[in-house]
Amino acid sequence: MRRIFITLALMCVCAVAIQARLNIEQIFNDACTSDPNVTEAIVTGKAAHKINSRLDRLAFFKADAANYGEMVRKLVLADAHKASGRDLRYSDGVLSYAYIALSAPEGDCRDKVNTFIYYVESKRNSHPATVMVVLLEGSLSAKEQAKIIESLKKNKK
Amino acid sequence: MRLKLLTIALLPVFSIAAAAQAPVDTLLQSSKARSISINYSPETITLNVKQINGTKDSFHYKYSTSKESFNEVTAIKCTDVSDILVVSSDSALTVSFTDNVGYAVRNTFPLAAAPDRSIRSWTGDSEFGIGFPLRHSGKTTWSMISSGISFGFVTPTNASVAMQPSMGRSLEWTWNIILGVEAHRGRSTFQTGLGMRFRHMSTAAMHYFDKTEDGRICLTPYEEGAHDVKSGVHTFSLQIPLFYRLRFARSWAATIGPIVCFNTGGHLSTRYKIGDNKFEIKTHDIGQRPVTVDGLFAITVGGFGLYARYSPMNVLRDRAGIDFGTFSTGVIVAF
Repeated sequence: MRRIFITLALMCVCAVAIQARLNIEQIFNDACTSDPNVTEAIVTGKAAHKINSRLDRLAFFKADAANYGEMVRKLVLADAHKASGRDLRYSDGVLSYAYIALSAPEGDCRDKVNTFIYYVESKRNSHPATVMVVLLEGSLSAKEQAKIIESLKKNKK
Repeated sequence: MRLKLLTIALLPVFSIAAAAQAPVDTLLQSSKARSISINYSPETITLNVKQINGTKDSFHYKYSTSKESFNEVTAIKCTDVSDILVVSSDSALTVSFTDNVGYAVRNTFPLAAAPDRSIRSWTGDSEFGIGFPLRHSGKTTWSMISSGISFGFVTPTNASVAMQPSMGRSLEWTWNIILGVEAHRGRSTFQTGLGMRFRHMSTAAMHYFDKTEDGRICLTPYEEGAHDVKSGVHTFSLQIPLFYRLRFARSWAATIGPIVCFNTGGHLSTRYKIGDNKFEIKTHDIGQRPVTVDGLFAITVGGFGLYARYSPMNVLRDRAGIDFGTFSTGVIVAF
């Protein structure tokens, strides 16, 4: 009985701790990244500072929509509920694009950690349909994070 | 050990299940606001709450479907509202507030469950500041500015040896752009406007600048026994710069460009002592060139930096008989 109580208490504490952070972080765990069909990249530290001095972390996730779409959408929407700014677009009743800003991105953000999440689902008639998530974390302003996304797009070209 | 494994194994399940919840979302809770406006049709709802809690920040919300709205539109607008609460769920948006006569208002607007729809909400001091940023690329931003206060040391160029310039005592103060405009695009910025410059060139020789009857400027020896001597040429210019600024490597920026100077004022100033007696001579109408063109280069980090300014044209007219340009360098605050 005592063990069960301790187990439940630990689970509650850990679950609360996880809820305090981002839900979308869960797609960057080992279970997802061990799938060969998943593309994942995480840039932190000096490498992130080279992109932008105020960027602490950039995480990228891309996977097929059939297997991961529903799970990613749920996590993105859960984070959207905590957002200070959001732009959610539904296509055929399904979330197709999301931009989420957590904490106020306006004003002087030098000491504030802001998080920006992009979610894009490729058109479902394209083959194979994919979901993509870009997570940016740091003392970035909304404009700065937009520039990073812009530069990522240029590099892709 | 088993306990630990069980905990780790169940964590993702637990948190994903929790993430799937949260059907109701409090978008705004504020004690007061300058105004609230709501426009509702079954296809679109727009909500703006301005100057929340006396700040510049406003709250914006827009729900729209792909259908064009031809239905009746409900419009609500109230000023000086209090106790504002905006709550959203998947099917409705509820807005409640107290108007300026103390009447509590509560409206629930159903959100059309259209397959193609978008929901935006944002708190900030501008209209919807978020969205897909890529479509804003390549846009030039224009703004009014005031920029570039600098302090530096001046040395004459192409001056005669007899002038013996003293760079340590020759100073200039410049406000590059008191009021101007800036065009900003990507890393590049163009700036122009109206600025001003005070410039003082001093000589270290035992001669002072003097103006003869025919208008020529010459160096005349001090009287015997003179000490604590100081003589120089002062000019005041209104200037119109055209700067190009390039931002690079974090907060570094390089600025370069020509400056057209309208030299509206100039005088010679001489001070010296003989014994305990102080003498000061000021001579106006020294015949400075009315218009000259300079070049400036500055490099700044986080708005602070160094500059170099070259004035190749003679400061004084040819009839003054003393030809020299100037080179100056110092510190600049390029705010």
